[in-house]
Amino acid sequence: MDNQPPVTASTPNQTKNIVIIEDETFIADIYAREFTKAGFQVKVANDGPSGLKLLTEERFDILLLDIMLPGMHGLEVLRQWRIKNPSSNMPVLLLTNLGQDEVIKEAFNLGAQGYLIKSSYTPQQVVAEVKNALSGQPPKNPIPAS
Amino acid sequence: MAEEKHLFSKILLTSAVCTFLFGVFLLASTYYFVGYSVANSYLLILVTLLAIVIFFSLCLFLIWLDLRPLKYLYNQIKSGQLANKTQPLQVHSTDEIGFITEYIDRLTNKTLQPKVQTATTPGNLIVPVEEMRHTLSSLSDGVAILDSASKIIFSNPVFEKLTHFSMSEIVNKPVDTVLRFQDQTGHLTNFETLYSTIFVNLDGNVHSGQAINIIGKGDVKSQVSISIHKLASNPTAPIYFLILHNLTEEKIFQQMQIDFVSMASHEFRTPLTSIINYLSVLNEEARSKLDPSQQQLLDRASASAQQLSSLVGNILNVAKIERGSLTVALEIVDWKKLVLDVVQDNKTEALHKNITLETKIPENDLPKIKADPIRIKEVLNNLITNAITYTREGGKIEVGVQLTDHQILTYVKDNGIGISKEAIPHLFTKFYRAPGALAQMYKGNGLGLYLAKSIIDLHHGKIWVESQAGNGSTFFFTLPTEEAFSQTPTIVELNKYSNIH
Repeated sequence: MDNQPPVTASTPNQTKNIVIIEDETFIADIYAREFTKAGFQVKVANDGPSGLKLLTEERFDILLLDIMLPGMHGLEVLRQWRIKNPSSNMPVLLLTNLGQDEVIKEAFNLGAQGYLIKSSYTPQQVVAEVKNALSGQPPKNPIPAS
Repeated sequence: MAEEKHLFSKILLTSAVCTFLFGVFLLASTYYFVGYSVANSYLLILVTLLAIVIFFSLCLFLIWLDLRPLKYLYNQIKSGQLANKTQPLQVHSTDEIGFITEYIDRLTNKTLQPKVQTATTPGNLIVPVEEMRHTLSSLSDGVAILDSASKIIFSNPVFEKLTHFSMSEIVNKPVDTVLRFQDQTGHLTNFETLYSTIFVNLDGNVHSGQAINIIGKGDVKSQVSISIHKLASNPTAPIYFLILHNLTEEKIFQQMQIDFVSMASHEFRTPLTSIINYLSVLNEEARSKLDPSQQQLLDRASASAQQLSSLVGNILNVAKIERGSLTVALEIVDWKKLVLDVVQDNKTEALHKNITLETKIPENDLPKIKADPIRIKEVLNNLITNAITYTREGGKIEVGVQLTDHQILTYVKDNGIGISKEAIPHLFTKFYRAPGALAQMYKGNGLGLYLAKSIIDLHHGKIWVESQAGNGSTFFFTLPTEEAFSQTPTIVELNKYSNIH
């Protein structure tokens, strides 16, 4: 994962690196399986601080970020990463539950592109959404109008 | 009264015997001391007999005088007037008969003051005996008694707690000068209006169960259910019992229930999502290796997990409605596509029951609408799932879209078991299940239509049903077009509690 080329929407055929920050190990495991199957390089972190550490140490093409994380809130992970990488165009998709509207809005202000509702998406649909985001298409669930 | 006659005659006889013996004694003494010749005089005998008669008459008169009250009581009792009398008995005697008369008076005459402890308040109500006061004070509801001028003449501790006044602060003051009443629409009203208008449609003297806010000392508001009892034993000066049942505490308790259910449901959701996802992975990776019966096991496990997931989702949504925090994230939606997608998702389920699921959507483009795609899909999904559930095998369901004036009408029509006339008004109520649905063991939790209505309300739309028992049902809902929507004030509230994940 060293020497990764900068992420652009025009590199669809290269192996993509995805980082999943999700504390529910089973859910993280299912997503990791599906992404591996779909040809992704997958890294998983199960809490906020180790997720931020991964993000700082390595370069990824896309981030799947849970909100309620032990150690550090998902928004805080995003905020701290954004401070260090103000111009990064790495797509960020939030893993949420229904009803986290306020959090979602704040995350969009920090540069998140879309959100996925965990209980309403099958792992296959999550992979499809990530592929969508990587190919530069608008996310299915964009920022809500404020 | 035989005893009394007997008493009279006995007294009469005794007096007569005594008088006769006295006369004989007088005559004998005269013979003895004066001599037979003088005593033989006729005059002496005449004088003695006269003395006997006078003495006897005087005796009778005095006895009659003393026994007269007894005769009066006897007449009163015998004629039955004692039970209905309104005046005290006319006996002015201090002897034993007087005592008995007063005792009978106390037993029978309710207009007389009882010789037990009473307390008279400034409002001139003879407040019930101490036991009554204790009873009112120990009630768990707030109680106040108002006189005919609606002055407070009594209040119990709970009433004082609800209004934040002490009794000394409110007693003998007109209720409207210390308390304000706010009806459900937020309008302030006075006691008289409250009694005469809010409760006008109820019969009799007892008016109960109206939820209002009562504003007491320091503008502290308490939500109560109010009952007013009018006691009109004296029509010119009725008194009112105000009974306040505290709803604020009930609401707190309900909120605790909702919070608990919500928390529990949330805890169910994460493992449930894992189950659904693992089943989905298993289905994808291993389905081809399974024989048809094993595939069926996998399908049943998936369907059950999905059912549980939708139940948990519904409970969480209801909890949000109860907290007033259900929100919709509105965006421009391709309505035609959304309807077709939801119909497609339900095709398999319909096919299982051999039900035809058709759509009737206009060919030409529909105006844009603003909706929350996830929430509105829940509505449509609920309606189609219901239609499939309540339609017999081989039945038909039609999902249609029509453009009307500034709104899009969507309907789900089935030829299933239908809904009875009695059930229709309650269909969109939380936890309501039509009696037929329960009896025939149809699955459901009574939340789907309640949620659907709440979601449609948030979209400024309307939802209703037309149905006849045995003749199928059609559920309709409307959504305003984007143009019409932007002209109505937004009622979408931001979720204050959105950090509950």
